Amino acid sequence: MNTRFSLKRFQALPSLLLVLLFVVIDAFLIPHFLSDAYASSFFTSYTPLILLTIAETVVLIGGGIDISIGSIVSLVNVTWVTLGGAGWGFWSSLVVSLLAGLAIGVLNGAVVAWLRVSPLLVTLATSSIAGGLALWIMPYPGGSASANLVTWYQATFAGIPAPLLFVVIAYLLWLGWALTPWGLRLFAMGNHMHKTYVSGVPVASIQFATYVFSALVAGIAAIAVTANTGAGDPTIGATYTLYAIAAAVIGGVSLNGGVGTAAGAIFGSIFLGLAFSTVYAANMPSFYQDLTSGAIVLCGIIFASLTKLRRRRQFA
Amino acid sequence: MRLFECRHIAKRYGSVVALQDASITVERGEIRAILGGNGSGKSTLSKIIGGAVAPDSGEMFLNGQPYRVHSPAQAKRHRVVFTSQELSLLTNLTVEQNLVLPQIPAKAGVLLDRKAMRRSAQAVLDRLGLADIAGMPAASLPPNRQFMVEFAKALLQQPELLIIDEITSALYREDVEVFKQVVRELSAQGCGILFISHRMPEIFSLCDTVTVMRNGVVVGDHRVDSVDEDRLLELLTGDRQTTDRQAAPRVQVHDGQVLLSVKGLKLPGYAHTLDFEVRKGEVIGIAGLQGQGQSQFVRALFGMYGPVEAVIDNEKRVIRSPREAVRAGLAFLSGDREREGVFARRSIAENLKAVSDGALGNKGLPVVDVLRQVGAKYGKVTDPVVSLSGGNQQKVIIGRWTSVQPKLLLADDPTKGIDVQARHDVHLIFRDLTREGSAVVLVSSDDEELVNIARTVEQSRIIVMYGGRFVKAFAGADVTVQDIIEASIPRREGTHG
Repeated sequence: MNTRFSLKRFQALPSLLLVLLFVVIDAFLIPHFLSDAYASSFFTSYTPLILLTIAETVVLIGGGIDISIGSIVSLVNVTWVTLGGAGWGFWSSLVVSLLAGLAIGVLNGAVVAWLRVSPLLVTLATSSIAGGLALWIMPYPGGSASANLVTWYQATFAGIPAPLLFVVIAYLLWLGWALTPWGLRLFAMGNHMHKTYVSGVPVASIQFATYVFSALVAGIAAIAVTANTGAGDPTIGATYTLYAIAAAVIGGVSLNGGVGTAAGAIFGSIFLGLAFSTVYAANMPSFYQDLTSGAIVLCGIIFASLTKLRRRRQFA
Repeated sequence: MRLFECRHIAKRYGSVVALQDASITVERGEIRAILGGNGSGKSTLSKIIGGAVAPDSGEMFLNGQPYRVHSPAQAKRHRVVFTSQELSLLTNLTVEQNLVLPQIPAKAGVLLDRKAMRRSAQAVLDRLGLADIAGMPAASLPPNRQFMVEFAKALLQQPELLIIDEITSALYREDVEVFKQVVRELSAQGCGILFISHRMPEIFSLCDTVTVMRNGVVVGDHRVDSVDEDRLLELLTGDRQTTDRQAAPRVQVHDGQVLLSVKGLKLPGYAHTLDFEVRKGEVIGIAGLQGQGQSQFVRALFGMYGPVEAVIDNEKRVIRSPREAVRAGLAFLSGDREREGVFARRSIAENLKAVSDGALGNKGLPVVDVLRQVGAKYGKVTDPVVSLSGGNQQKVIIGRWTSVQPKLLLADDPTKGIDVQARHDVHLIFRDLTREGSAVVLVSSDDEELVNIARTVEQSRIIVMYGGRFVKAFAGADVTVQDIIEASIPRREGTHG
């Protein structure tokens, strides 16, 4: 893009470097890593994380945080599969499921923006609500998603894995911020809520919009999850939330607000995916896997933070 | 038709009356100065007009219509624009992004129009002689440039009524000329201007009329050509010339030993440095308009902004943090009890022992003795400290420090918001401290308080700060409130400013 985001594009640099580093490592470590088939399987697994990181990034840029996105994924997933099992059509069940997820986002946004409650508390509570609803709708994993969807999701078109369509959609939604006045207001608000307010910007509406946005993108992530697993699972989303936050930070998003890009979010989440793949490929006993991936995530965060710190010093 | 009028505006914050009764008018093209000292209510009034604060009572009219706004955004829709000394620039955006933030140009009503953004930003920057900064990050500009950008941001909104709060104090001389020129142009176009300032030179060279405020009340409304500085200062200070010159029992002691001296002390936000010296048994009052570096000065001495090299009791020491300051015998008393004073949920006894047990690891004096010394009224020492009145809370905090016998007590507006009796008691505690050979550096926004305390102790000085510098020092025995106010406000012939 041009001047407006040239500086911010740089912020994605550390995560891009990490991605390149792990591509090189994995090229040696993982057989057939550079094949189309591997790329396809990689994106079927990690597209949901990429989307959730974009969702989280927008909220974090605005100075908030949304820890309900994982539960929204679960809620949309089980609602869709359950309605499908009850004989609803593909699209009608999808729309209703997405609306269920959006309702959580609307609740988040309204309580944070107009009742001015801490986003951490609000989204923690709604996370339990969405997760609880998911368990109520479908107590045990089961059901099955549309077979056509599952087949399509595994396919590649002219060498491009189908799941990337979801990434493109999420990126287009991000452009709804980046290319409009709303993006400027979002970055301003994340930097300093009160200054932005006295500049005449309707900050409450923007806050509200960020949570609705994250719920919408989380809903799209749930489509990808459903297509990948082919079934419903009321706890499928739980682990995503914190990884999405970590990926956003690695991608250059500041937890203090006002800084971040979708490109950074994408690189950050791809890095996490590569790190996990590396650990699995190394044939470690499963009880070391969490430990090792945790350590890699921490190193990634530290690396990203150090480069950010250096850049700030150059500025001063 | 008259552009703007407000009648009998009042506003209180809790028990503090910020504005009691303020009425002003602004005609089209009029440049009206609002002049007032600390706590006169001028900033509150400007925030009310700008929509950032809601008044408790009173009426406002714009173009003859009732004017009621609940947010700055609404005020801006009426083309009432407020620009303040508290910068509203966002540090993560560029100058041009900051400038257009209130009204972002869009193509087809949807897409951000970067060309239009650059164009309108460039136009207003050119007008202010700031040609090549549009694409720079706002955070990279020096403070004076940031203020000009702030002013540019207000201009870009094409105000009909423009409120300018203390903006010139941060500008360089050349910028001030450009600023005045642009304000005159606005006035020629029919824009009304409220110029809140304490700088006499600018009031006389720029404004048509001047409103003087004191203690939340409008006390004067004059044409600038019909008053002079002395008359304005009289209005500002009120009829306090009769301040009781009670002869405090004064013992003329020869100057005590130097307790602490620093050279080249740097305050955050100011380029120059300060040299400072305080003697044993001395009280130094730090006076000045609000925000002239007084608070930063005592905090810097207390090691809050990084290492300070000081000579304390003829011994060279480097104070790197408040912890080291405490170990060196310094104490810090803040008027902001909630943030920097009490541990609200803990007991009186725990609050009292926070420094002695918590930081120094010694026992200090017995709790009950200390509370008696400072004259705090309380039920049981195990009661939570918030069960006490503000004055008694502050006494507990003072006791926290006196129990470890500090060499130097640094106090930043310590009697803010406490009642008269408690205030007097606090002053007596300070006096007793000096009699034991300690020293007190007291920042106060209440000039009368400084004068009173300077007269009740044996050795005292009052130093007036402006723009982060010490601009004047008085011997405590002879100083009056008038002296302080006159020294605080730069005059036309004055050199500081």
